[in-house]
Formats: sequence, C-alpha cells, structure tokens
Amino acid sequence: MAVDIAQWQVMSTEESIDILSDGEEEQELAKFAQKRAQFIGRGVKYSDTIPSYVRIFCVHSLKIPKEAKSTIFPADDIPISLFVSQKLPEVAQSLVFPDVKAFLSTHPPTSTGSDLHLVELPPMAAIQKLQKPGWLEQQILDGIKSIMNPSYSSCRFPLWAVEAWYQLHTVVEKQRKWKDCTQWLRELARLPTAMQPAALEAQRHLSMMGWNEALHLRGSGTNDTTSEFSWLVSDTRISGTLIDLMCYRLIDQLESNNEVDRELMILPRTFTHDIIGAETERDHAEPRTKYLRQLEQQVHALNTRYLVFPVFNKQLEHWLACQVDLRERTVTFGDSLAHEGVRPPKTVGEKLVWWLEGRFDGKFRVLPDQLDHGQQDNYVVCGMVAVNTIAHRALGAPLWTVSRKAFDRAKWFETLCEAHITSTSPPENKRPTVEQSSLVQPALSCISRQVDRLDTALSQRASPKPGSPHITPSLSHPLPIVVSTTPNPSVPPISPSNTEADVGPLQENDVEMVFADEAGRVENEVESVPSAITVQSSAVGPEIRADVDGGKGHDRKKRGRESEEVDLDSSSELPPPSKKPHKLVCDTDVTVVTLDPPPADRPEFCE
Amino acid sequence: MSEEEQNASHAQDEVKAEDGNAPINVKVVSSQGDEVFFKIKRSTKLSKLQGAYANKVGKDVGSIRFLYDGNRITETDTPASLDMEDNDTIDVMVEQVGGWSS
Repeated sequence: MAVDIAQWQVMSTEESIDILSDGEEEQELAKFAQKRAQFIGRGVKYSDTIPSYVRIFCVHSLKIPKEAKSTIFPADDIPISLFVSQKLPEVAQSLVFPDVKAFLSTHPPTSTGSDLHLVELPPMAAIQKLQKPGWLEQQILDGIKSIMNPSYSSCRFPLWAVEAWYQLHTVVEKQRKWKDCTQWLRELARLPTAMQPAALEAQRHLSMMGWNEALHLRGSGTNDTTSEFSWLVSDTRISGTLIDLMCYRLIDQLESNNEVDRELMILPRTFTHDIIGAETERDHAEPRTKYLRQLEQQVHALNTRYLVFPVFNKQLEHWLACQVDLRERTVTFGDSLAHEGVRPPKTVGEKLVWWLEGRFDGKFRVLPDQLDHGQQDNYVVCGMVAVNTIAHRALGAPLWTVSRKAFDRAKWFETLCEAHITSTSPPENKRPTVEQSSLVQPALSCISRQVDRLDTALSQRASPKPGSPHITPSLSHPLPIVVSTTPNPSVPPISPSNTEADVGPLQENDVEMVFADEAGRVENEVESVPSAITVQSSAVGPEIRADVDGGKGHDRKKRGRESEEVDLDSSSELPPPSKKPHKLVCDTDVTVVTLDPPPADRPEFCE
Repeated sequence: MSEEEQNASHAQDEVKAEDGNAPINVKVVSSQGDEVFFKIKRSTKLSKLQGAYANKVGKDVGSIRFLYDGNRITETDTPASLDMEDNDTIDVMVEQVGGWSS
C-alpha cells in the first residue's frame, strides 16, 4: 500500500487526523529519538491514542526513501517501448507462503535496500497481510528492525522493503499491461486494413511517451499516470478515470466548436457521483454540493436544454450513457446492452428525478433506452460505446460498430497521448525519446519499414499535388485529426511518413475502406464525414480548422449528399508561415469529392 | 457568552485571519457517507491528506479518487491553491471499472 508520511493524533473528544508539514514531521521525529526507549520493546500497544511522534516514527520507518526509489524503480519517463523490455524482479508463484512473522527480524538490516529489485518478489498475498493497517507498526513497537524474504533469509532489508515490494508488484503488473498493448497494436498494424495507419500512429507513441508519467489533463488527478492509457489499447475493461479523460476531451471539443448544439452540455462522472450521493428527495431542497450549485447556475445562464453524461451500472459493472432533456422533462439512456434485455439502473433514474424535480420545475419521466448507440458484442467494450454514444449525440460522431472496435480504441489512445504530450513540458525539458537511444533503433526501423510499405502501396495508386496540404478524413473519431505536410515540430518524428497525411491524398476510387474484425475478417464500413478536420501546414504549424459537417452533428442523418459541399476556408490556401501557431475558422466553400456514390454505403472523403 | 468571552473570541478570529497558513478542518466523505476529519495547514499538500486517508481506511491510495468542488485533486494542490475554507468537504470516489459482469 502506498502510504505517504501521514499521521494523525487524537484531538480533544473528536477524532481528527493532524496532517503535518515536512518541518513539523522532522520535529516530531527528533522528539521520538529522545523518548525511543520508552516505547520500543516495552509492550506498548499501537493505537489511536499513541503520541503523534511515535506514529510518525512508525510511518516514516515504512516509507521508501527518495534516494532508494530512483535505484529500485524504473524512471517513470522511460519510453514504453524500452520499459517493456526492462528487467524486473520475478514474482514468486507459490500459493503457499510462510507465516508473515517469518518476514520479520529483530536484527539490523544487512542491506541498504538498493538491491531489493534484484531478488524474487514475495507473493502479493503475503505482502497484503504484512500491510494490514497497524500490524507492522505494532511489530516496530515490539522491536523488529528489518524485513527479509524467507526464501532468501541471508539478506535483511530495511522496514520499508514491504512497501517497495508492493510497488514493485504494481510495476511488474504495469509492464505486463504495456506488453499486452504492444502486442495488440503490433497485430493491428500487421493487417492491411484501414485501421493500419491508426495502429502505426499509436505505436509511434509507445516510443515517445513514458510508461508512467504523471497526467495533467482535465479529469486527471493525483496518482493518475500514462499507464492509465494502457487500458485503451487492449481488449480490457475501461476505468472511470479514462471515461472522464475522454469525456473532458469531448467537452473541450464541444466548447471550442461554435457550430454544434449550444443547448447541450457534457458532464463528467462528478455529476452522477453527486446525484447518487443523495439519500432522500429532501437532500435537494438546497443544492447538495458546490458542483451541483455551479451546474444549476450554468444551466440557467446558458439556457441549456440537454445534459449528456456517462452512468455506471454498479450491479453489472457496466457503462452506459444518459441524457436529461430539461425542456421535455425526460431522462433517457443509451445502453449498449439494451439488445440483451438489460435495463438502465433504476436507482440512477430515480435519483436523477429527485434532483430534477427538486431543483427544476415540473415532473420528469424516465424513458428507458432512446439514445442512438452501438451494441456491444463482448464483456469489455461498454465504456468505449458509452463515450461514443455521448460523442455521437453531442458532436455527431459516427456511431460505434463492432467492425471499428479496435480502431476506436487506437484513435482514443492516440488522442489522449497527444493531449498528454501537449500538456507536459516543452521539448527543452529533455523528454527521453526513441531517437536518444540506440537500443530502440531496431524497433524504429521496423515501424518505419511498415510505414514505408504502406506508403509505397498507396503512392502507387495516388500521387499528391506538390505543395498542397493533405486533408484526410477522420475515419470515425469525433476529435480533429491533425494532418501535417511536414512533421509536427512539437512531436519528435520517427519517420517522415508516419502520419495519416503522409499516406498521400486520397483520390477518387483509389482507396476502399476495409475494416477487419478480431478474427481478421474484413468488411466494408459505412462512414460519414468527421465533425472537424484540422490541417496543420508547414514546419511552423499554423492550423486551419474546417468544420466539415457544418455542425449540428446530431442531425447528421438528414445530410446524405448534401455533405458534398461543406464550408472550408480558401480550400488549399494556407496562411503564410508565422512563428506562432494560429487557428482559422474556415467558412468559404470547397467541394468534397465523394469517392463512390451513393453515400449510403460508401465512406466519404474530401480532397 | 459573556462580553469578555466574545471579545476573546473575536481577537482569536482576527489572529486566525491574519495567519494565512493557519490549519483548517477538512472532512473527507466516502461514497457510503462515512466521514473522516483532518486538520491541515493551508500550505501543506493535500496529497499528504490523501495518503493519510488511504492508510486510515486500509486502501491503496491509487484506487481512491478525491474530489473537491467536482474536480479531481492533483499532486500539487494545497488548501490554499484550491481556496478551501474551514470545514470544507472532500469527496471520495472509488475507482469504477466497467465492462459487463453478467
């Protein structure tokens, strides 16, 4: 268990935990040093009433020193492609392990702990027993001085070894996850389908991004790292943190797009958390949290009609989407399991109505499943479908289908990686990149070769107009796709041919969209034009944002061939290079060439 | 309360107001409504409070999400940086992982 130096002391009659500053902790430790003999080996019981300096000493003894951390654990910013081949300690596989008391010793350590990662890790079950709250602290008061692995009893470690073992287990687990992701993307990139460019782009991030870098994105918090993204590029379930990260990206896009429905608001999980926290209708006599109060004010100020948000069905451990229509006074859901007869969670509907009727006028009705949504076909993908339901409703993103399951994950992975890279420090802060290590050259060459093969194949069928920017439609993703005529200077390139744009401009009849399912079967995919395309030109990177669908994404069904003409500024004329990237909202006409009419059964492209 | 006591109380409040780093009381409330009380200086990182809470409830701090005013608390946040007031509440949200557990 990761425990900071955290301490508490009993305050008067009400139990209150005192959080001390670093300086105060030092003073308390000095105090303990003077009184040590009164507490160690004297039969003192570890409890809430013990003096704070004793508690702090115990907690401090179990905390990994900073200097040891850098020796034992791989640096968080090691690129994923290197991290997966990092040598980590083996985990003992035995299901039977000695009594936890066998891990304790009253003799001083024989090791500083810097070699802890060189020997086998004890089983997690044993570590969890050792970490039972208060147990090790009691052993410290009883006089233990070191920890040992009974399988290697000749070596005694400092007391913080238990916490280090726990953290090493999590590192091993994260490495296993990243290995799975690497393999998953490799398989995806191997198949010559429309998903291949997305997979290659996602692979590029494995060589650029640290395996465990702290996130500073909207929706992230303490202890969230890039390892969270590994859940995306594999066939696994989706965490609430990822749901929030994706929702906030949609919120960003909604806020920056003037063409979409201004009456609609996307909300993060905080909303349902605060709604479900109510125990009775009366809890909403006043706004029950600051967040709900601010939300109410916003709704009134912006005259918001729709609230769209993710919901967690706790019973089924299942994500779905929900919409509140404040004008029609309805609550409705988009559940990817509705076709299996699954009903939306009753409690959520009831508690939403408590809030709505408590804080807004009129009676509200709960309608079961009326939002457009994809249908999930396995046990893990509901989170992706729920986010897509929200993106479809709010931004007109194409609806999720089984055939784009892997593609959707790869694109979201790419989007979040890009967002993370943008949010972190500029390149001068020396982010380790694939170019800085000769160890990864073989992997780099491999990726380049794959991209080159793709380039060659496509260039035989398409010849780009010299100097013209390439506008490649997003295949499915609700977020803008950045397309470069030259590599983005803010992103260290692996190969000049590693972006979708570099595949070459799409020509009429020259590319057929092919998606493959997990079994490798391929099928044609019906696509619609993405909600926005961002074109980034030249080395200095000015940006043009072209709202290809003219907004009103949720009215997309009406579009048909109307989509052949869209608003775009000055077609291929790019602004002159400048040192500052800038964005232009485009509003003059260009023609989108539909490759193969009718649009109902073929994807649309623009050139 | 006598006039003398009132004056003493006011004087104490003024001292507190002057001391920008005076500790404040913060309540951490779980999804089940369980409450744990903390006292923390306004300049001390809330990550310490998060670690203390995790230790108190016997959970991995990485599995707990702390919210203040609807936003996740980050590694560098302090009561001062979040403009927290005495007796404010931090909400705890246990991480949810969804697929379909039939």
